[in-house]
Amino acid sequence: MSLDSHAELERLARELEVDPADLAGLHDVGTDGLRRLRHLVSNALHDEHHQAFQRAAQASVLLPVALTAKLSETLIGPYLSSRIAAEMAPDRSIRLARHLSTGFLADVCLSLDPSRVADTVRGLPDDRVVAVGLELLRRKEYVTLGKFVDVVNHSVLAAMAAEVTTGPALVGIAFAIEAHHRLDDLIGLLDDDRLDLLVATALERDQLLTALALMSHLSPDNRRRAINVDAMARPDVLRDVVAAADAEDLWPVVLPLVALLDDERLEVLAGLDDLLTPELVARLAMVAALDPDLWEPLVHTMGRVPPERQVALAEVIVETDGLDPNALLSLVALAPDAADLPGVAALRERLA
Amino acid sequence: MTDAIQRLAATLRVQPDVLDVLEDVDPATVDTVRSAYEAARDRQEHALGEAFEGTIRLVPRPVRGRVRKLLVGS
Repeated sequence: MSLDSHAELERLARELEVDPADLAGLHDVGTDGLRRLRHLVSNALHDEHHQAFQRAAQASVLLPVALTAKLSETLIGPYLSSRIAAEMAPDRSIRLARHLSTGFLADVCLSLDPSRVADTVRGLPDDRVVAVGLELLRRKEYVTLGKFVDVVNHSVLAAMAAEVTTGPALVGIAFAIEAHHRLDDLIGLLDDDRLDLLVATALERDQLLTALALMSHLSPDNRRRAINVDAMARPDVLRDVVAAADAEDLWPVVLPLVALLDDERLEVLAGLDDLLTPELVARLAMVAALDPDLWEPLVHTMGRVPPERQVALAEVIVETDGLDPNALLSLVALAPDAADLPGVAALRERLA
Repeated sequence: MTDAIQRLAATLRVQPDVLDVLEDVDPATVDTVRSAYEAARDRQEHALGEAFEGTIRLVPRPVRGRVRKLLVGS
C-alpha cells in the first residue's frame, strides 16, 4: 500500500472515528478510490445535520464572540465546532478563532474540511495560523497539515516550511497535499538539503513510485531539482527507478524525469550496462513510438551511453517488431540535435 | 453491485454506481464502513443534542429564548 493510500485510509478512519486497522479490507481500493469514498462519507455526515449546523451558526451571532468561544471549548467540542465553523460567515469565524486557544484550534483542524473554511483560514493573521500549524507539527499530524497546505496563504506556507525539518514530517505532509500546484509551492520553499531528505525518506519507506508520481506533477524547475537530489546519484536507486518504471508500466511518467537527470546521474545510469538491455531499449522505443513527446527524452538519455553502444541499441530499435520505420524516422526528426548522436545517425542509416 | 454496496449507498443517500470503487471489496468490509458511518452519524446527533441543551442553559437570559428557538425550534 502506498503512503498516500495509507494517508487516505487514515483520513477516512478519522472521519468515521474508527481504528484504521478496522478498514484494512479497503487496502486495494487505491488512493483515488479511497479519496472519493472519504469525500462521500464526509459530505453525507455533514448533510445529515446540515440544518442543525446552520442554526447553531446563526445562534452564535446572538452571543458575544468571547462567550461563543468559551462554549465551543467547554461544551460543543472540536468536532461539532468544525462542522459549525463551516457554516459561519468568514468574518465571524475569524473573530471567533482569535478567542480560541491554539490547542483547541488544532483539535478542530483534525476534523475540519479545509475547503469549507478556506476564506477563514486565509483571513486569519499569519502568526495565528502558523501557531496552530506548529502545534499540529508537534503532534505529528502530518496528514492534517498536508490538507491545510491546499488553503493557507503563501506567507504561512513559507513560515511553516522553514519549521519542517524531519524526513517523516516532510514526506507525511508532502504526500498528503491534494493540490499539485501547492505541492510545487512547498517544494519550491525547501532548500536542497531538505529536498534530499524528503526523497531519501520516501526511498527508505519504499515509496519510490509515489515520489516519482509526485515529481511528475511539479513545475519544470522543481522537477529538475527533485530528480537530481543526492539519492538519485546512487546506482542502486537508479536501478530501482528503472526496475519500478519497467515493472509498473510507468515509462510515460518516468522517462521525462530520467531525461532531466544531470550529467553526473545520467553517466551513472548509462554506465549500468546490465540495466540498459536490448529488451528494455526495445520496450522504451515502443513506448516512445506511441507518444512522440517521449521520443526526445529517450534520445537524450540514449545520447549518454557510449557511442558504440548507442549504435548497438539503435540496431535493437530498428529490429523491434511493431515499429513503423517511417514513424520512427519522423520521431527521430523530433529530437533536437539528434543527428549529432551516433545512435541516431545509425538509426537513420538503417531506416533510410 | 453487491447488496452491501446497495445498503451503503442507501445509508449515504447516494446512487450505488458512485460506489463502484468498492466493487472488488469484501462485502463484510463494506458493511463495516456502513456500520461505522451509522455510529458516527448517531454520535454526531447525540453530541448535537447535548451541545444545544447545554448552550441554551448557559447563554445569558436576554437571548436565551431566541437561541432556544434557533437551536431546537421552540
